Amino acid sequence: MKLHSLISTKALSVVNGELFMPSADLPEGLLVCDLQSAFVTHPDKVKKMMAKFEDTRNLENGLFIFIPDDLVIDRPLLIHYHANNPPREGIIIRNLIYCGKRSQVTILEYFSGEGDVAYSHNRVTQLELDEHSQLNHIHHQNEEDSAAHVAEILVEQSAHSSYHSTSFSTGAKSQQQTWTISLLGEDARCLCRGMSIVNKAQQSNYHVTIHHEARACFSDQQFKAIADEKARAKYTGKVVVQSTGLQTTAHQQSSNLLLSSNAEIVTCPELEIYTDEVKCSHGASVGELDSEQLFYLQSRGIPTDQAKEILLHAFVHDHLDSVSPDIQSVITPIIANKLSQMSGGKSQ
Amino acid sequence: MLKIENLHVGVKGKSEILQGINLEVNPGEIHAIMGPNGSGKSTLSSVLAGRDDYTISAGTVKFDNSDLLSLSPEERAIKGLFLAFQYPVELPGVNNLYFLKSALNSIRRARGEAEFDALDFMQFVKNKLKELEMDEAFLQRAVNHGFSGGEKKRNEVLQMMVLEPKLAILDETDSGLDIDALQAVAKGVNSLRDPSRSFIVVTHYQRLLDYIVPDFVHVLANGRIIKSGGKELALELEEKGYGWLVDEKV
Repeated sequence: MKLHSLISTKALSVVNGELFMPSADLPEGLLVCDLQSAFVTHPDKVKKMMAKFEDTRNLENGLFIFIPDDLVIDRPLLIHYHANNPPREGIIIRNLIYCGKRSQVTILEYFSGEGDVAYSHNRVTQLELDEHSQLNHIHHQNEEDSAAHVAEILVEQSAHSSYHSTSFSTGAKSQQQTWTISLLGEDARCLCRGMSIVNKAQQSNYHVTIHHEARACFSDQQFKAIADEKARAKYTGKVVVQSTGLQTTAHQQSSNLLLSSNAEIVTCPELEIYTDEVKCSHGASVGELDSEQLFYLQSRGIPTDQAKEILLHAFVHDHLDSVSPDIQSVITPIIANKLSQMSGGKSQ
Repeated sequence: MLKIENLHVGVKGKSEILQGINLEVNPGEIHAIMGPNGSGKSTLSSVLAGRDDYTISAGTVKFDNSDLLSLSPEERAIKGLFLAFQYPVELPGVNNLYFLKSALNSIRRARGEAEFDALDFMQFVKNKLKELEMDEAFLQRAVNHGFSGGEKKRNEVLQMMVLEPKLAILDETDSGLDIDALQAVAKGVNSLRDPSRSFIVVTHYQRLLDYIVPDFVHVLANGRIIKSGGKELALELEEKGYGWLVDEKV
């Protein structure tokens, strides 16, 4: 499938774990470099962030993105991770992203690969949101069928910061994303959305933990999955409200569609609360396509396959709609292609 | 156009709901089907549209000389059959304009006719909205999602006007409508009246028939048509209720 021109011409590319800058058309004011250079330019920041997550693997390849205080950028920063000749031990990336005070940025990270050789994309991404910063963070994992994608994403939010993340997973043979979000300053807000769209024997696993450690923070997890054929989609979501997390508001919702009797959905929202005075909710649903809705569409002359496709699009609609139009234009065709495979259509 | 012969229909876990329906609808005619609750009116509408929750134990239905019961719901729509649902289904996340265009273009494609492009379709549908006194904002909402009862029914009639069927079945389209909405719906139906187009209007009340004047009125009770007559039968029913007919038959 052809890549959207925004990604092929404007994105920063990371190929087999190595950063390529030349073609990138970056929004002004951002500092982006590889992690090794960042050790020289911002040693204190880098060391401090790295100390928070220790990993025995060689995690010195990666990106350092520094967003200065007060920087507000309308256009998104696009990062394209691609595997075409991956090392046998897998591609290992460690990213550090720092959002300065009152900054407002959108980042899209897109993952893809090519070829039949099995490979793995392993990444650790650490994000630090300073006071009053806003980060809109979109992921799309669309790796080759042979790939394993393993991601560890750690987010620390200071007071009044706002983190919106929307993660789509359409590719890879198996993927595991572990999100740990800590709300450390008061009135920090986090909206974490995920969408697995899997078929064949794909496995997708989202594991999300949100720690409410400060007063009056807000979090909302909205995870969805569509599983067809023999695929398996799992979501484990947890909210931990510490004794310091007074006046917490936390929501979790997991909605899932099973398209085949061999597919599997596992969903497990959890709450762990160590204080009073909180507002928390969780819910989960697993179902098939609604036969009344299908009949309604068919009775209007719409063929079964197309009717299913319309309902699948409707299911992903609110997640897709939550990202900006330019990013939608990148992601939508890929998701549409995947959905048409699942509704019995023939496009590839 | 439509010929129902000796139609027997049951639903899982229940005895037969329709027990031998005979009905013939010719081009240009409007047939009203009235009857008490539970008489099988909605079952008849649903079976004609192709809902598969029912078992058909006997009988035939011919629509334009083809065997209607062997066709899928979408094939029936392509052949020109339309059901305005008693309870229109909500489709959150499906844009109404997109839905209408997909439906019309699916039908046109299947018939080998040219599809509408976005601009032409917009103009086409706006004209229909005007006739129904509906706001253009309807087009950008999700299909029936969060619509009031009256808005849903108007949206059914809008779909009918867009798809221009040969035979339209209106299943209690009048229920839940205030007088203004009722008049707008009737106006839509009447604007489609044509010597080659037929309607089956299923209703509880005579009121709708003041605005959509039927050629024939049938009374359905206990799964059978127990009386047929002209439009004056509806007035008689309004006055006397169904009791005298049902009792007479039993």
